[in-house]
Amino acid sequence: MKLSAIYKFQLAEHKRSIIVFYLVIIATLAFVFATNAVSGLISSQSAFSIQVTGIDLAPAIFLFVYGLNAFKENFQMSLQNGISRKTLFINQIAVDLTLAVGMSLLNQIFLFIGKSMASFFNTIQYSSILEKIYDLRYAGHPNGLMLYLENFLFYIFLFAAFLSIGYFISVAFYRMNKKQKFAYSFGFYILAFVAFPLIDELLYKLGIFSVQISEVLLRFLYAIMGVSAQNPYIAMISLLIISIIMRSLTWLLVRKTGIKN
Amino acid sequence: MNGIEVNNITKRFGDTLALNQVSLKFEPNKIYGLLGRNGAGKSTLLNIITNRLFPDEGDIKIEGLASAENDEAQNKVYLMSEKNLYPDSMSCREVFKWSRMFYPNFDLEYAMELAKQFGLDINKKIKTLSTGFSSIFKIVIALSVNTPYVLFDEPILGLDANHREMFYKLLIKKYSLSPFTAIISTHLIEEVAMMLENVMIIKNGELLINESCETLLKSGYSVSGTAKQIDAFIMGKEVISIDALGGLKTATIIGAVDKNTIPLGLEMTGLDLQKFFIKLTNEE
Repeated sequence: MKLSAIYKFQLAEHKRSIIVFYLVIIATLAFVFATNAVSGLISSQSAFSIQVTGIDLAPAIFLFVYGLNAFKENFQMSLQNGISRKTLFINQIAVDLTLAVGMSLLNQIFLFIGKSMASFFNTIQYSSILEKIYDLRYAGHPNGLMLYLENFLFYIFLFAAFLSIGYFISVAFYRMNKKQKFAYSFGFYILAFVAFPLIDELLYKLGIFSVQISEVLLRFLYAIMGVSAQNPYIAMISLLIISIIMRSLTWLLVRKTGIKN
Repeated sequence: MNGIEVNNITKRFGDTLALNQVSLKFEPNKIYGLLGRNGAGKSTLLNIITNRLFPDEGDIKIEGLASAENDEAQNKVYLMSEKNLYPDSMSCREVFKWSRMFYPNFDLEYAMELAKQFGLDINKKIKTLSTGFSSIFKIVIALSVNTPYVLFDEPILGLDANHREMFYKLLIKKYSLSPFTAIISTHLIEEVAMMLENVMIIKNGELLINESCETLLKSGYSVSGTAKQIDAFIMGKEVISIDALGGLKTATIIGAVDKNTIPLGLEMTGLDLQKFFIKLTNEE
């Protein structure tokens, strides 16, 4: 009973924001197609072209932000209603999987509708991120079943990973006091956007490293995302590993978290 | 094993020792008063019982089940805490609805009825409630939740006299219709004293008193009379307080007394629990 209650509660809590998000996506697509239709009427079609790519990535950002906001209220509500941290943690995974599967499915529906509508116009090119990243794999099959299937699976893993990263940050911030929050946020910014680029450039220019660290990291990212091999399944495995690592770290933080005054 | 057993609980917050080797037992179907000054450790103890905090040492059992991280054990307990843990953006009506989902025995109809009696607008969002109505909102849930153990942490915070009176009456009514264990944590003793069956007093994280209210009240008495008579009577006795008004005095004394030994002109009454509490919990 309680198990399903906390599951339903967590889903219900963000129902409104999910609906608003999809209304924005629909409005954006409607705007694109409407603009295209109007432009077709007032100018020559060949002079006008719209590329729609990456709108399917928007839910990942949304789910990352969702993850960032998913802990405090649910944790407090759980403890108020006699739900243990373990039950909450398991339910959070179930909720995240539901969202990942549901939103990945919606992604495919949007992709199908977008591609179908784009096929009526010569001036719109509608494609998913997967088609851009693994362009060789899907070349010549813009509407194949395999694309939709792999797209669907890829986004489940991607959304689950973004959710787990957001949730981990949310839990970590809950555990920190104000000074720690400030130190970590500021420290991350300095490290990632000031110190790292400086050191990277310096080591390369001084000849200490023959290749830039950022270049190595990019190559690593390409490898774990299966870009070089043009294999999205490598990316799925990598994203699964990221999710497992994030969830494990989150559990270490959650299991001894107490209520804050 | 029935009841809530607290065994050697110790809890520190940094350098502060909030609870020190506290052991006690809350038996089924009794009304307890958990008394202590601000910061004595009352809320910490209740938070540990309800799995909101972990003890550094010791353990708690609820009807024989370990309380920590145990949904089954926690299903038997409800804590009405001073701090609101419900989402601020929710309305009272929504919280009632969810409470029924979490606690199958939650009486939604009764909650609505109580809200009406208290004048609580259930369509209001929690964040818009005043301190008093925030307490009322939590009281309504606590009285409707129907768990075997209901813990009230400072339940009358911000309540006016009428609402306090209503709360006491409703609690007694509820208890007499369907007995449960109520643990009332407060530092405002006078008003709750008449409801309590057992009194536990915590001072600086340690359990000072764990007695039935009856035994506690028998441990002392108050006498009133002229200042001269009282001064003569209290000589050699353990006096915990003296109030003087004009030529009259009232002394609160610890110890047994034979009513027949009270001099004529002096009036004897029961022990003033509030004064006893102040004496016990005084830092000096």
